[in-house]
Amino acid sequence: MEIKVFLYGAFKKLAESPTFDYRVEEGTTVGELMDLLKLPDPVYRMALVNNIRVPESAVLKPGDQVHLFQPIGGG
Amino acid sequence: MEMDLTLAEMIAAAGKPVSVSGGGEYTGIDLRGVRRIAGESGKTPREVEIAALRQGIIPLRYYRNIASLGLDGQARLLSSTAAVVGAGGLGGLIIELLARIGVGRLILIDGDSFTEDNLNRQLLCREGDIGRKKIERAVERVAEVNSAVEVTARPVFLTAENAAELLAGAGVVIDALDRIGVRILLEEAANRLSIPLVHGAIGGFMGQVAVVFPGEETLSSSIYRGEGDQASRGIEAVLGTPTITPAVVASLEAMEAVKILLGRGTPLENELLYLDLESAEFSRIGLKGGGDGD
Repeated sequence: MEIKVFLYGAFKKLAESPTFDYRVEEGTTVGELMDLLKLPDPVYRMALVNNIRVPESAVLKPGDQVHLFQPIGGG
Repeated sequence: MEMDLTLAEMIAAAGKPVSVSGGGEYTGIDLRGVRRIAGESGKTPREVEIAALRQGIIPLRYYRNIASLGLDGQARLLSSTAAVVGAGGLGGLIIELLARIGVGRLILIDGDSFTEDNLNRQLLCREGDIGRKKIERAVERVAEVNSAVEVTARPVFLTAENAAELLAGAGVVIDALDRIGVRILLEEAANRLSIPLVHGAIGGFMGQVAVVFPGEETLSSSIYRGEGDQASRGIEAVLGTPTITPAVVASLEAMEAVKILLGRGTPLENELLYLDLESAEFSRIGLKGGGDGD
């Protein structure tokens, strides 16, 4: 199935374009997608799927729009 | 009433034509005039400035604001209260901007003291301030740049127990904290008090800004969902908090706060503004709350 991926910040350099269509197998989770895309540092990565913050255990569906970025909390 | 008439007369008498470079003039009142009238009338300088603006007489210090804010907008800001929670990298800059634009009352909250590694980014921190309470220096700085601003200084850390009392009376609450857990606590408190919250955070040369209106849980249900015991940190734990990033994020937070106080513009509601300064990219990402559990 196909999903759409949007990369932000440091993740942008992991692909040729920060926005692209991506083919994954049915049942792939957000965490598995992050690993497939080789997002560094599993502690500091997060996903919005269709604008909703989801845990890495969330299962992707066809056509999902997946925004991937790093959580920020400093001041 | 007679007192008010007297104040109006004093202000009118103190109003002087001020010529503008490039031609034209306006009727203004200078800092000395405001202070003198405050002393003689028993009003605060802030009250004198508001009264002057209502009479169409512009305190010179705000002249460069007026074309954008209007006399009424400037007076409304001077009548407003903002609470800034945190007086570090973000907070110091936000406090500076709010004082200069003339937000009339500031509630400043931070229990921390300056350390040497604050010098890279914290406007309030000078070499001689190491070891001093941040709030003590914040009070001093506001008095230096705009003595009409009335400050309530609270040199304590925000907790679930003290939050409602600390934030009461604010028209907007500004998140200038540095830990995810306490930001979520602040959102809960602002929600309980029905006060809009402006959120901002930095990590490396990246930052983010969002606005949370009462009833929304943008931080706890969306941006920081699943994060967030009190000590939790984001990517700044790896990338640090370098110079420059806080100035950009603080400016955006101050602007969102002013928009809320004046009820103008389009707030960053249900959106995350994600900044990547190395690529000079600002991205707005839509946010929907909740979802159907994990």
